[in-house]
Amino acid sequence: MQIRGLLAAAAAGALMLSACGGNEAADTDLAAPSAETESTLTVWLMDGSQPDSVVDAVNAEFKEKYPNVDVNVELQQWAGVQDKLTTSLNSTSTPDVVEIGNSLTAKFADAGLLSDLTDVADDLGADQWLPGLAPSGELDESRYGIPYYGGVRVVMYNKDHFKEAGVEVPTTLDELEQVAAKLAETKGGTDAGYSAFYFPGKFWYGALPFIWSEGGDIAVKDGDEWKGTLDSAESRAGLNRLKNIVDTYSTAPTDGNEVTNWEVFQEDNIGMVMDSWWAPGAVVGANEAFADKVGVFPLPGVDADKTAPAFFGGSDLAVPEKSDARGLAIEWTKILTSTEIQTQLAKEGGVIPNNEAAFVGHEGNDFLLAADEAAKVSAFTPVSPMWGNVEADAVLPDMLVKIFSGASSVEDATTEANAKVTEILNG
Amino acid sequence: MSSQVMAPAAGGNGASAPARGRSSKSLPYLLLLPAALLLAVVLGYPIVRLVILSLNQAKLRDLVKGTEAWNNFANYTKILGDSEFWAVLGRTIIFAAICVVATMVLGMMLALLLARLGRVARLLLSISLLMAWSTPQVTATQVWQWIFDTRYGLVNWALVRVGLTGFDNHSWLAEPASLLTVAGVVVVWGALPFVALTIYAGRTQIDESLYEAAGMDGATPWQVFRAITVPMLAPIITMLAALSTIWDFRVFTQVYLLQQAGGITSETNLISIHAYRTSFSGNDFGGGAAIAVVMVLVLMSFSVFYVRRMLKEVSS
Repeated sequence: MQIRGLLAAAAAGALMLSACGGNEAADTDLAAPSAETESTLTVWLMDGSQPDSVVDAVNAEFKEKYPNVDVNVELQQWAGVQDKLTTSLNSTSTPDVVEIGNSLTAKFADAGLLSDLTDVADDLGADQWLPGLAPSGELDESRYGIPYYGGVRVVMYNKDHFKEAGVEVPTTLDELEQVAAKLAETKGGTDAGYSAFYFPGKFWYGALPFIWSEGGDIAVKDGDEWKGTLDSAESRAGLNRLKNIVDTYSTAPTDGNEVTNWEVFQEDNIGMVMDSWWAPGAVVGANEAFADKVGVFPLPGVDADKTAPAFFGGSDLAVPEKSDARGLAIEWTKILTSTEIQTQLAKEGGVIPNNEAAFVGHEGNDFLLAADEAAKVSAFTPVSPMWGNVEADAVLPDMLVKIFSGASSVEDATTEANAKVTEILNG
Repeated sequence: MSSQVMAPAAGGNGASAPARGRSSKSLPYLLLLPAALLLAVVLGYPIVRLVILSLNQAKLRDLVKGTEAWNNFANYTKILGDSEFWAVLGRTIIFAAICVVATMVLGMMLALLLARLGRVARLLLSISLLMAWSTPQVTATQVWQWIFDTRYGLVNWALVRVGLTGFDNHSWLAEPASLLTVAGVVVVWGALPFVALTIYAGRTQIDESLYEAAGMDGATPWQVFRAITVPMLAPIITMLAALSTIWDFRVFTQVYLLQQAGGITSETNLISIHAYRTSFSGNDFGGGAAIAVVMVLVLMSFSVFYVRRMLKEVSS
């Protein structure tokens, strides 16, 4: 309570400061327009990012401030959105606010398609943003993306199986392997169709924490150059551990993707499986009979004092450079990213909000609390305009498929992928 | 020889009508004008733009800021010197060739089947073919992907049922050749209806008395097929083969979607996907355009071959 009050006061203070602060920003288009402004505002949000109630709440608040502005919120599909953004952001009919998957913000910023929001970042609550989400919207020390929300992968486990095998939730990766061994002993091995740890081959979001927890990484920036580090001893150690787990305990297709994980989990022959933060809720929602069996924990790290760094995916909000209503766009974004709306989003949408104060929306929801826990230790893909190309070229899924299917050794596959990552990032 | 035979057919309005006046000479050109204009705008402009783009250094940033820089043939030397490009081109040619042959053979068989069936069965088969024809590529690919799914797929289930237990949990997309085979099945399945119905339509135009005469002469069905059906349908077959070649060389959707579901992406790219990835993923729109231009050239060389053949067949 006290913390909330304090934060509210801080937020109010920030608002007042911004209200009276003399605006000397060079980009006057970004300043809040007068309340009488008549205009239309087009907003592109992603389908599934937020419940309608959140959009309605934002629009209602915005309408109070700008009664003469019509807001059109258009929901976009994730599939193919990269190309759609590429073309529409460069046109005169560009939307005024766009939601962008946060590993792609840098790419669009670098192309000159997004407004530099550095001057208004504080006004949008920059000092409150989760440290794990903030870096994605930044490029060359300028701010282009405003963190909207985040999501992490967690481990779902079958409580009944754990009870049968007499095991507890593991607190280190070594323990996780022991738990898997016990589960396989009790419930049967992969030849009996049982997966103590189910892991499809293309699931690179799930593989990254194994690399990071051993101290490895995808690439590091060395001066102006990116240096791939997938072939480092640490990265390989993480992948070797994962390969061993996959080989021994997973019946998942070694070239499959993770989209059906939460459905396969309900077949009751999986002990543990990694999936997105929303998956446990989806399982419970879809299968009431299965609800009591679903447990969630953050993927443990090498040591018990720190969970494995989770890939902190999510979305940024950005204002296209070519928008003709940028001031209004920022005002709308300000409402969507306010603590009040973020709390509602956390509660009703079940996502990880962009600031810690809004975590109260998760109270009473064990699944989301586990996701919050996982999000506290997080990492991110290289923040480079070229990263989207690594994703689109499927470098990491290809590497993993080769490793798990046995087509290449960990050494060869990482060497190959590392060369590609380095080449693309420096391209 | 052949070019002599071709000339009148290709020329249309030859110089052999000196008696006609000026206006009637220019009339055909006037009538051609609207279509030509439309083609110039809809097809000509993009092609010119593509060629220009392929001669420029163009990243996304350049396209936004208008800072494309002319770099002569640098994009071409780069892609032609890239071993991956040649691997992709070879893969695409093999893929397209197999798909075209499979489509033509199966299409011909279906067409002949249609000609032999009774009314009701023919109607049912035609409707089925039309339904397959009207299924959007994305939908069709998703359905086929589920049929070949590793865990829940119909194919694996059926194979295990008949005793081939090795196919339990078999991944049809893991091996590049296997993924492309599945893609090929989807492509051929989608192309068959058009080919089968077109050949069937052609078959109905063949005078039945030819078959009767052949029957009286004691010709075997195979001889009848070789001596009557194929020669009579030759122009249609050539046209369909040409169209199939163009379609199958450009296949994108089916393979692209299967790559999301399984397999190794870098070893299953076809040339259209390679061009797309180079442009959008590789942020090299000039290089992507160069690949597309090469693709157009390859297709044009095929087309010239087919068009010549077709004109020859029509005129003979």
